[in-house]
Amino acid sequence: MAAKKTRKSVLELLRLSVVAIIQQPIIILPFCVWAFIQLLTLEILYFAPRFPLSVFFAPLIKKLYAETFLHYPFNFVLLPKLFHYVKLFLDFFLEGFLIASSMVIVSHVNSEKRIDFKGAVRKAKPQYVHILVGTLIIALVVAFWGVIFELLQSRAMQIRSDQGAYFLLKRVILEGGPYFNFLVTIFIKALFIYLFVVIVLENRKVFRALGVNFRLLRDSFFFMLGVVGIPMFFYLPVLFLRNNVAAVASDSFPSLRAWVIVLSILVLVVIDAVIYTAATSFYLYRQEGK
Amino acid sequence: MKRSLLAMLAVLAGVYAGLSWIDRNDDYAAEQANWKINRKLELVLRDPMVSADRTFLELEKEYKGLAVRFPDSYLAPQSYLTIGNMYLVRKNPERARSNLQEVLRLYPGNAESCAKAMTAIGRSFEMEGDWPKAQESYRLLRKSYPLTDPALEVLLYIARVYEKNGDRAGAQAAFAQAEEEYKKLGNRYAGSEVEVKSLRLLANVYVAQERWREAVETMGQALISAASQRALTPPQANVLLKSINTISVVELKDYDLPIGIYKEFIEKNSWHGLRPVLKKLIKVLEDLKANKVKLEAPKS
Repeated sequence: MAAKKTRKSVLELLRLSVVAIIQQPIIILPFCVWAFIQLLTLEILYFAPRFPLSVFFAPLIKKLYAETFLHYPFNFVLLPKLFHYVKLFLDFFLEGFLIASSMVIVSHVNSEKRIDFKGAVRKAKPQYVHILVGTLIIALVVAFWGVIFELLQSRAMQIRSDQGAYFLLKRVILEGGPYFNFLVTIFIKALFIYLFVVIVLENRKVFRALGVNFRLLRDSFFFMLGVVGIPMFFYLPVLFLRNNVAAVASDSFPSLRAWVIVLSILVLVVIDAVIYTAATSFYLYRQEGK
Repeated sequence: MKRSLLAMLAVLAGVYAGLSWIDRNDDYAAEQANWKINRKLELVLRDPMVSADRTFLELEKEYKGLAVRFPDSYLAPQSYLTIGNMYLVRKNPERARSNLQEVLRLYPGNAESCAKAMTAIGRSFEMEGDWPKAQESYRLLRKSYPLTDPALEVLLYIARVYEKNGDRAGAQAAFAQAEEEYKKLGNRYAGSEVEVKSLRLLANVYVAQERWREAVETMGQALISAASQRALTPPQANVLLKSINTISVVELKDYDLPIGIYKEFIEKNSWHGLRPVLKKLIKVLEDLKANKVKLEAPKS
């Protein structure tokens, strides 16, 4: 499988991971389950202003936002925001766990042992609390970046130049927000790439796993940055679409906002599957090399 | 693996189909259909005199189809109102009236829609130059649906029509009638939404007659009353505060009047979110007063 044949080449590793996923599609199943949960959540939120779900959701939406968002097409303006908040909750409790389950599957496939999704979940379950804490640590790092970037943006707002280098800097910071966040996401993902692998495959507690993660990254950080960054760049067109959908959607196709979220979920399924398969394979390759 | 994926797809498709089917005749589905027709109407209304009659007839058919398909939706009477207004823009008052009268015939219990229909019927008579018939429509409107927004606003509207036509005596009488009526309604329905609406309309009557002090005092009452009833929305507060400030400072050159209103508001509605804004406004007005700043109205 991938780990046995991996040389230290980012593209080769990614290629082998894609081949592994095609040959052993069980690897992508946890990500499919994650996509299913997100899509089901999106569906429920889409139907939230409509009977019968409106019986529960309508009073909440009226109180927290406004009555307008219960009507077509304004419900599509609120939908991405609602989905974002609910997804934060799901990310915390489920995403890390499903990624860890996929890593169990990859390690079993690598050792040519049989495993199914239930088995992988059963194996990852005892480490659930550590996975949760690991997710929380990553979330705090992301939140910290969010605070820094907000400070940067408020400083940029104070720039009064309307031409020249400072003006350009101001525009880059204010308009490039989603793209800066994208690059930082790649960086943070690479920074904690081994965390769940170590928690679930070495059965370590989270802070010990963090130490092992950074130790492993000492000589492979830029390699891992490539492993994470190259697949993530396939998400750029989706990101561009997400940031520019409002103008098109308001005029002619309001439900486009929802379809862009669906596309985003599906593209990320494939990207994450490749990244974490590659990361797990490389980790196993290194362990075999010891 | 394939079974799992198929099961997940089936659940997603099933949930979508099921919930769509349950809601198929509800308001949301009507709003979707209405939005599509409105998009076509927007394009036509960019130049209504240029579009062919057939286009308007097709739109009329679509709106009526919507009303038939969703008879219980709030958009059903709205469809006929839209058709009526569409023909008013097209300058076809007879056809407008025939559709507006359908609202009265089909939805007699829907007071707001009927009131809007009667207002538009009045406008259609005005378009034909038949002011007596228009007035009769407005009189019927006030008699049949007295507490609806169109009925409350129509007195002020009539006064403005006289004013626009240069009929000073008619305008004066109409303004006097509007003032009396709004005061009566304000007293009769004290503590209700009708009182707030009446006060705001009364303030507009005073503004139209340049009775600035009375206008500001009435706006102040409307502001305080709406807040007490927890019915003061941010846009309403914004309009009232701007009007009070502008008229007091530019026309009356009196800073004490708005300061007094805002202090009374803070005293009576100490819990209200507007308090910090009003405290700032009081400070600004006191500074302007201390510096003896006098602002003039812009010359038109």
